[in-house]
Amino acid sequence: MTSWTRTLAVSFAVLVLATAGCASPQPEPGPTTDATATESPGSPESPTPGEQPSPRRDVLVIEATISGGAVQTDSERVEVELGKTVRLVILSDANDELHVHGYELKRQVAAGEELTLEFVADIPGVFEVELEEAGLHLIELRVR
Amino acid sequence: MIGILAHGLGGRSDLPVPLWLAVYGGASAVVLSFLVLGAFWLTPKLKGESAGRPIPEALQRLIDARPTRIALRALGVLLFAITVLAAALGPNESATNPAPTWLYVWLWVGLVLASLAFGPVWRLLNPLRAFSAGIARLTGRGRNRSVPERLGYWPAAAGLVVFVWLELVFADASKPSTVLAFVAIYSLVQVALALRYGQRWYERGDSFEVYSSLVGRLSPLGRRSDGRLVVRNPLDGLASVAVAPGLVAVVCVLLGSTAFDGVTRTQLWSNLTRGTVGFENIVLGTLGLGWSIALVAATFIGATHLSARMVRGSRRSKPVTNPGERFVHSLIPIVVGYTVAHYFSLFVFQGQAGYILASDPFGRGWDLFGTGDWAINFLAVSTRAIALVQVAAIVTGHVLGVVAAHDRAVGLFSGMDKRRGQYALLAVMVLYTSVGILLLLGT
Repeated sequence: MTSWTRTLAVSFAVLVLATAGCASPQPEPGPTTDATATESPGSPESPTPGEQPSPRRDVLVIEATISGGAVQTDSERVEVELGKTVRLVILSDANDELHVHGYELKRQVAAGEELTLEFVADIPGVFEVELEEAGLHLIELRVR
Repeated sequence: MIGILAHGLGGRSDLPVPLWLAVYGGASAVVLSFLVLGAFWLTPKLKGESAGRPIPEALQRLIDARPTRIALRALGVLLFAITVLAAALGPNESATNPAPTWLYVWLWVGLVLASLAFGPVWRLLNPLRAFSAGIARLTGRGRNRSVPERLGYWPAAAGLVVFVWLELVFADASKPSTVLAFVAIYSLVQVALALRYGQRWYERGDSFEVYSSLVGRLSPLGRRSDGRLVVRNPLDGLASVAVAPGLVAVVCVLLGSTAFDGVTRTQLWSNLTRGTVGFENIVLGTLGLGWSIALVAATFIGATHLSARMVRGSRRSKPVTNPGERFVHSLIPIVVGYTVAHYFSLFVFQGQAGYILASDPFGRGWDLFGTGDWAINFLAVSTRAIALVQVAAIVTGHVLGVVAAHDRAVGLFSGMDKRRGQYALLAVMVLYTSVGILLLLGT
């Protein structure tokens, strides 16, 4: 290695170390504040009166209604805390298949019938919830 | 609406990188750029193909031995055959058929990582070379007409445009039937052209081989001009990239398409494409991809011409012809940085599907390797580690690019121009790096 490559390598290493060094004591200052996040900490106000009489406290309820190919949700992007239970409540006017990508959860949706799908969000990352046959994007889950 | 993953594989995409990490990454890229610009050497240090320390002769004999070459080629043909058979006979679903994962993850992303480590490996594996050589021998056709020099890398650039369009715009990209159609048509065209022009066609005409060879220049393992395999400074390999017409186009397509893949994962893009369907998505995607490539090309060519013009006024430096081609090698590390940043997690997660699904390639309920009931382990790498790799890849690519461009500039320009001639290109590289980091933030 010539001297200049060594100098370069050293200065790069110093910068990387400085980055890592400055980084570790910081306890993740909740950096990218997503304005559209609608995580409701605490108990969700009982959304499905018929189905779940007493929603547990740590459940994140996400509802989506689909009619005529249009999706109605509170928010397209939902921030989910890692390890939290997610309950999807889907009401569609057409038969289709609900697909939670990454988690590879698939459920048949019958037209006009409310579908509830509950799972623990234990994989970090960004995942799409989709109606498979219509190719309709419902919600994006951001688990961290 | 286009999903968050344009190529439809994997179902998981990355969280935005932490803001502090992006800021440190961007800042170190800028600081290091000025260190390179200001404090370093003023005569070219890179020796290109004459550099490197030879590896032991016995090892080279083994690597260059005919049986080794035949074995590697046979492996390439075998992988090709299994991929085509799986795509043709297996279920038409990327979740159960391994062919899409093999093409888009193992080949397209794996090619970059393997070439980065070992050099132009696809050249040794490329099954199409075996097909055209076999046909030529059997039929006595395919005498070596030389490839017209003016074609250069343009055919490879065209092939890359088709592939990235398919991967990033076409809605059914991940369907095994799409994979089959692409592989079949691409292979037929390539083999036909190789029969016309001889085996040398692949060096400049086969997109995958060109991609692998360009990235392979950054490998610490290389071949010296005297034929010896050497361990060398990757920057020496980079400085020896064979320039020909169309090389700028190849590099701009690679960089522009990866940037576009980043754009499609942003909130901005999902707002733009909300409520659009089928055909509209194709139009929007095509426009976005085209714009992305065009912007990269325009900024790069503009900057290199500006550099050349800035020094034209002074009498000391000789006029520089084709400045784009003189500097295009310096974009290759940036391409690799972008690629690693965007596809690293896809490779480590979706890549697992490649061997999980390999147990039952035709959907017959087989379990050849006992991996059939495995699931992708999404906890193999933490999100923190992914973010670190992403930012480090972009910053490292930037620094290598700046160093390569600096070394080229001090060789081309004289006196004060050595520094002045670098400003424009340096600015464009900082731009690419900032955009790359912003895309990691904006997902």
